[in-house]
Amino acid sequence: MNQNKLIIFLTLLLQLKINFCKTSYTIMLDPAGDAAEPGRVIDETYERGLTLQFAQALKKELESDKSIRVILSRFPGESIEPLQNASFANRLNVDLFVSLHFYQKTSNHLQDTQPAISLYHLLYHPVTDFWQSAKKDKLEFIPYDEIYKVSLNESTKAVQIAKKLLETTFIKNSIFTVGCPFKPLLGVVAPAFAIEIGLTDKNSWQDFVKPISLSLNHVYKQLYKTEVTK
Amino acid sequence: MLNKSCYLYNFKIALLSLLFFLLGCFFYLLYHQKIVIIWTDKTDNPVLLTPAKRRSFTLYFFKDNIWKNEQKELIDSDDIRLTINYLTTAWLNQIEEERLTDKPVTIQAVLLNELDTLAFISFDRSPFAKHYSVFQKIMWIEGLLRTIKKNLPKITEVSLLAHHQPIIDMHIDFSHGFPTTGFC
Repeated sequence: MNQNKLIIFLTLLLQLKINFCKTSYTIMLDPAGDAAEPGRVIDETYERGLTLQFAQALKKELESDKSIRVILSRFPGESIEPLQNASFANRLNVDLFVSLHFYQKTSNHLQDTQPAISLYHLLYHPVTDFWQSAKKDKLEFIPYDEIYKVSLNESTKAVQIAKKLLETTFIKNSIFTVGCPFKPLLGVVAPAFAIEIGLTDKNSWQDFVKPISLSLNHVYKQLYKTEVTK
Repeated sequence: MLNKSCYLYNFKIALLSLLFFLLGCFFYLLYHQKIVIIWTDKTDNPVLLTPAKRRSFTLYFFKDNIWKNEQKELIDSDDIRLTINYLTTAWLNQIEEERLTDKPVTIQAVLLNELDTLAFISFDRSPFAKHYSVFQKIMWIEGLLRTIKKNLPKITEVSLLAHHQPIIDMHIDFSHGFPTTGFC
C-alpha cells in the first residue's frame, strides 16, 4: 500500500516537473500572401515572395537557439484557404504565432510619415474584450472569432515586449502598436501578433532580420519566463 | 331606323377614337415631360418634412503623425441617419481635400439598428486601395470613428459596408462593427 502511494506520488511529481521544465518552444511564422494572393507590389515584386524570404531568414536566425523550433505556415507555390493557418497552428499547439507583412514605402506624402514597423494583435473592442475570458482547458465550444481571447493578455504583452526591444534599434516613435480586428490572426489560440514593415526596395527586408529575430527571442522567453540568451 | 342606328354606331366609334387620341396625346406629352404630375405624399422627401438646423461639427483626421480637426457647418437633422450621412460625406470630402486618400468613395446608404446605437454605413466601394498599409487603413477608420463619437455620442458602434455587404479586405475584418471609442 505504501509502495503504491509512493509510485503515485513520484508519477505526479514527474508530471509536474515535465510541465514546468519545458525546454523547447515552437514559433510559427506566417508570411503574407500565397499562390492565389500575391499581396502588395513592392519594388516590382510581390509581397508574398519577400515575406517568404524574410520568414526563411528569420527561421535560420531563430533556430540558432536550440530551444526554439520554427515552422513556416506555407511553402512556395502553396495556396492557403481561410483559417487554414490558424487551424495548422492550433493543431501543432505552437507557443507563438507571428504574421509577417510588407508594404511599399514611397516618397508620396500619403505614406512618408508612417512608422517603420507596426505591430498588431487581434482585438475587436479595446475594453470589453478584456472582460470576457476564455479558458483553453475547459471543454466548451468557443467560436473561432472569439478564440483569441484565450491568449489576449499574452498577445498584448508580446507586442509590448517586442516594441520595447525594437525601440532600442529604431527611432522611438517609428514603432506603432495597436490592437485591431486583424484578419490573418483570426482563429489562433496561441499568443499571436503581426509585424508590418514598410520597405523602400525589395532587398531592404534584410536590415530587419536581426532586430526582429532578437525581439521574437525576447518575446517568447519573457512570455514563458526562461533565461534570456545574449 | 337603320340609318339612325348606323349614325349612332359611327358616332360612338368617332367618340371612342377621339377619346383614345386625346389619351395618346396626354401620354405622349407626359413621356416627353411636357406635362409633369407632382404626387404629394407625407412619406415622400423626409428632408423637407424633418426639421433641420445648421450646427458646427468637428471632423478628425490623422495627418503628419498627429491628429488634426476641422470645424464644419453642416445640417443637423432630427433624423440621425441623415445627420450621419451629411457628417460622413463631409468627412470624406475633408480627407480627400487633405489628400489622405487616393480612392474617393461615396455613401450609398446609412441605416441604424432599432436602438439607434449601431450605424450601418454602406459605401459604393471599398475605401482602401490594394497598396495601402494596415496603418493607413486603421487611421482612416479611427478618424471616422472619432468624428462620429465626438458629434453623435449616441452612436456607440459603426459597421462599414460596401454595396450593403461587409467590406472584403486582406487585413481588416469588417464582419463586426467597430466601437466608436476606436482602437488607438
